[in-house]
Amino acid sequence: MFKLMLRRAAAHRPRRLVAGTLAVTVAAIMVTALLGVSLEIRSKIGRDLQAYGANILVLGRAAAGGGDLLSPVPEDYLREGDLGPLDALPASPLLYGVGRMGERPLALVGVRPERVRQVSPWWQVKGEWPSGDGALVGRNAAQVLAVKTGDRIDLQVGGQRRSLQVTGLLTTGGSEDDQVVLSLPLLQELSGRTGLVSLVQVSAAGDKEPADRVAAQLQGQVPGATVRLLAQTAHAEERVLGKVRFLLILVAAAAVVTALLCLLSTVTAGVLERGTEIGVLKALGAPDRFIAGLFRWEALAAAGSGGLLGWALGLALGQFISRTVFETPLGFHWVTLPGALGVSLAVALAAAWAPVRQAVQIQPATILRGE
Amino acid sequence: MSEIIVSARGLSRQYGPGTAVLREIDLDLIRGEWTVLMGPSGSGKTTLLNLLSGLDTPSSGTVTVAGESLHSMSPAGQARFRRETIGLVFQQYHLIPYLTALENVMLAQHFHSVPDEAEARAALERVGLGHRLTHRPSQLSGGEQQRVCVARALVNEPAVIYADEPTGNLDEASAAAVLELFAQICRQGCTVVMVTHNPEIGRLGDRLIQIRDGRIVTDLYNNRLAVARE
Repeated sequence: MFKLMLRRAAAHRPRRLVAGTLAVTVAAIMVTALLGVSLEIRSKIGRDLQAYGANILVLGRAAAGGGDLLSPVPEDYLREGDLGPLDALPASPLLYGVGRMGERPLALVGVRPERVRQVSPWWQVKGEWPSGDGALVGRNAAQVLAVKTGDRIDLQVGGQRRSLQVTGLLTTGGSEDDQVVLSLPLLQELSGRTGLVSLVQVSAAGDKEPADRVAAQLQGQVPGATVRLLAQTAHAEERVLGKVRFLLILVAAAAVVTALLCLLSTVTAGVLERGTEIGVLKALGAPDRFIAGLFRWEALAAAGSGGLLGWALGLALGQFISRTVFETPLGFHWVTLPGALGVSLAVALAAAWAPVRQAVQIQPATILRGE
Repeated sequence: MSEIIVSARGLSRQYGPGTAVLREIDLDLIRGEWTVLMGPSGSGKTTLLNLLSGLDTPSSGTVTVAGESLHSMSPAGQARFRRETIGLVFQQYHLIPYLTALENVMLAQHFHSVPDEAEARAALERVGLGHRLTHRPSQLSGGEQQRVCVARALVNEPAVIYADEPTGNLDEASAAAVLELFAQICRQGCTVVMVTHNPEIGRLGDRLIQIRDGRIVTDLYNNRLAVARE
C-alpha cells in the first residue's frame, strides 16, 4: 500500500518530483565533475607547475657542500648506475666541470638533452641540442667567446683537447647563459668521470605525490646522495594545488547548498499542498513513520534519479572542463558514482528533515477544519 | 444492561483566553446506540466529535475508552486507537485523490491490519458502489464519494463511528442511503455519533443531544428527556 501511494502520489503531481530531481541533478553534476577534476588536479596542474623547474635536488657529496664541486674523488659524485629510483620521475642528471678555451676559463655542464627538457622546459635553444662532439653555448658566453652556431671551439678539459662544433645558443635567464653545455657522456669522457654525475634535478610536480613526500621516499634510495627539497618551489606548488582544490570544493559546496534549498522548498511545498491528505491519514490512524516515509522516499527518489542523471552529465562536464582548462582528457573514476549518489542522498535526507517533522506534527483536527 | 463504550467527563476546549468552545461536557456513549449531536453553527458539535475521536486535545477533562484515558495516551497510542477502534466520516469526504475507491477503503485496512481486497470490495458493495471500485474521487459524485467515505469507516468494523455532517453535501436520495447504512450498522452493535443541522435526521437517532454555546442543553432518548440540562 505504501509503495502504491508513493507511485500514485508521484504520478499525481509529477512536476514536484521533476523539480526535486532537477535540483539534485545540478548538485550531482557539479560534484561529479569537480570530484573527477580534483582527483587529477595534482597531475594536471603539476604538468603546468613543471615550468617552475626542479623542486628536489639529489646531490652527490661534492655538490652537497661536503667537498670541492670539482673534486677528483669519484666517491664525491653520484653513480649513474645508482639512479634507478629516479627513472620514473622527470629527473635530469648534471655533471659540472671546467675547461679552457685558449686562456679563457669556461664553466661546463654535461646534460642529457631529453631529460633536461623535461625538468627545465623553459630552456630556449636557437639551433640544435648537442650530441657527440657538439656544444650548446650560453647566450652570454657566446658573446664573450665571439662564437655563433656552426663555429668550432677548441676546448681543453684537464689534459684533453677537443674541437667541438657549436650546435646552438642557449638562453635560460640563469647561470647556464654563462656556461657551455655538452652532452653528459662527452663531459664525463673529457673530465675522466665516466658514469658519474654531480647532481640530479627532479621535478616531482607532475607526480601524484607532494614533492616533500617524494623527497622523503628518495632519501636513502640513492647511495651517497643527499636529497634536498627546494622548499620554496615545492611549497608554492602545494599552495597553488591547495587553493585550486579549495576553490573546487567551494563551487561544489555552493551547488550542493543550492540544491538542498531547492529540494527543501519542493518538499515543504509538497507538505503544505498535501496538508489535508496528511490530516486524513492521521485521522485514519496512520503511524508517523508512514507519513514521514511518504515524503522521505519522495525526496530519495528525486535523489536517486537526479543523482544518476547528474553523474552521467557530470562526467561530460568534467571532460569538458579538463579539455578546456587543462587541455588533456579526464580519466574515468568510478569513485565519482558513489560520490554523486552519496551527496544526492545526503541532500535528500537533509532537505526532507524539516518538512517531514512539520508533516508528522500536523494536527488533524486543525487541518481538516481548513485552518 | 447498557454498556458504556466512551465516557467524557468535564470536557472543555478553548482556543485562547475567553474563547471557550466547549464547557464542562459530561457524556456517556452506549454500545449500539445512534447518537445525534445538533446545535447551531459554532456551538461546539464538531469540536466535541474531534475530542471524542482523539483528533483534538481537550483543555481540561477526560475521555475514557474501554477504561483507558484517551488523551493520556501517547500520539502513537492515539493513532492506534483511531485505526483500531473508530471510523470517521467527514462532511468533505476527505478521500485520497489519487487512489481509487477500492484503494481508499483498503488504505484504512492497511492501517488497521492487512489490506483485504475482498472485504474492501464487500464494504463498497454494501454502500452500493460495487460498480465504481476503480474510479477515483474526481470521477465520483458527491454522494458516491460520501459512500466511499462511509465504506472506509465501516470496513474495519469499528466500535464507534463518528460522522460529521455526513449528509450535509448530499442530495435527498444519497442522504437517505447513507442514513439507512448508519441504522443498519447500529443494529449490528456499532455505536454511531453523528453531527447534523437537520432536525428530521436528528429524530432518526436513538438519542438526540443539543449543544449550545459549548454546553449540552438537552439530551433526549427516543424523544424522551434523558438528562435535563436547563
